[in-house]
Amino acid sequence: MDNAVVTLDVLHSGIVWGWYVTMNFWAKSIATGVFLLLPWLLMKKDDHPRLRLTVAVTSFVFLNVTLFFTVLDLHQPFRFWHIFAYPNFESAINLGAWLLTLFNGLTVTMAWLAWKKKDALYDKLLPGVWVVAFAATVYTAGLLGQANARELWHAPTEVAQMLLAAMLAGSATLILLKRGGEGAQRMLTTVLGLAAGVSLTIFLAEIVLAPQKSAEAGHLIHILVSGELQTLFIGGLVLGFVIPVIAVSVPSERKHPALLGSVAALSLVGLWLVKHAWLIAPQLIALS
Amino acid sequence: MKLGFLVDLDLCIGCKACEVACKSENDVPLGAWRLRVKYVDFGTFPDVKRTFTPMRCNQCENAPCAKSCPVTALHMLDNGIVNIDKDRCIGCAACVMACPYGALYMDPETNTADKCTFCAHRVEGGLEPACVVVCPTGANIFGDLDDPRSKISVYKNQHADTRVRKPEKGTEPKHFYTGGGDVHLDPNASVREEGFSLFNYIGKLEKIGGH
Repeated sequence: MDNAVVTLDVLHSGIVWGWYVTMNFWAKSIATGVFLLLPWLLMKKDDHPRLRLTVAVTSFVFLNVTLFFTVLDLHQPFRFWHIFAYPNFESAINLGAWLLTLFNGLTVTMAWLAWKKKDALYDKLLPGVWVVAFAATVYTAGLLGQANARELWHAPTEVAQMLLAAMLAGSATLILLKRGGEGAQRMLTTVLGLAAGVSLTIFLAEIVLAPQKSAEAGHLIHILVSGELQTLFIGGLVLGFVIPVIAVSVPSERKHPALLGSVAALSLVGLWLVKHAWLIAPQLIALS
Repeated sequence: MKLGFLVDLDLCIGCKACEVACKSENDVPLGAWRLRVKYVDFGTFPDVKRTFTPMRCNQCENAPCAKSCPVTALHMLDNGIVNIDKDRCIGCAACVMACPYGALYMDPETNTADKCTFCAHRVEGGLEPACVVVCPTGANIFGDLDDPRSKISVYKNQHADTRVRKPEKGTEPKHFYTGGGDVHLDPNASVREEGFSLFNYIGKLEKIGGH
């Protein structure tokens, strides 16, 4: 309808899920990503002697960062236990809580096994831990999918984006921790570049295709690409995705370790910015 | 029994008596609303009109808020009302994210989610919701959708233009409107410019619940 303007209304909710939730997504990407990459690093045979311990401890630390911000985001944090006492198994948040609790227990077990140098048992348990890490990575797509009101989060590519974020965050973290020999570092660099490249392609496809889905999706893409979140979103894409793709394309003899570390750090920053913009954009528009 | 609501938008005069009655009946705190009446002006001078649209929870048959609630705080009563147990709510706001109608809010006093419950406490005692009682034009029609002789069922059958908000979301709302157009029901059909408008400030809440 032409010239239709809201002239009287209440203030709408604004941003309900803010940066605490972004921290949850971002830290979880690191926590699960390092475990998702570990089997391939172990196959390289030139792994660092403390690789198993590093992965388990890193995963444990970032998983607890995830849980810390999850609980902090609750308006009634001291009722967190209700999730287990009054479970709704239809809710992705509830399933996620059980999954992350299980994963937390497994990271502690794996860290203990690595500390005690029980590598054989560690490697035997690894496939199981990998499956839980995979599930913990992708359940967030289900969580966002249940947010019926937020069309931007319903993209069918959301599962792929969660996995790619974990690959990107996991490889960047392991590059920064410098665990693994030259072969492992090369592999991590390739994973970082590939994850960034594929993820960037999906984001660009969303930007092009979303406006055709609905007026709301088109408006959200406008907010991200040329509206109030432009700096956050485009800046994040450049730091976290474009720069790693370019860095990986540099011939290996010209790749300075310090440069690689900087690229890894930037990709983690960029990932946070993009995730945050993607999270808050649908909350900026009134639903009714 | 399946309780539902119908608003005849041709009868609504935008007096906001329903909004005030709801606030009073349910002790809805400042900065929160279970029911609101939105004004949208449209057209080109001199051919302009003002629309009034009361909006409340749609008590969806397929309620996304109840599905996403991790602790079953949001649950359906036998009469079809989607109720909330505030003592169980953990304040995760998943329901706020899920509701396509923006009908849920974080109560700044209890730090839990809350919403319109069709005045479930009054209904239980045989009374009508507060907003129905105060409406001076009878624009708010409340009753049992399962009873073909109820006022709401008869009204629904007599008005071919009965519609719900965002049917594409598949939530099966039990809140209907007659007499309205897209400007009334579709938020994308009007511009919502932040800043001072004709009557009040159009904007966003800075503080959500206790955060």
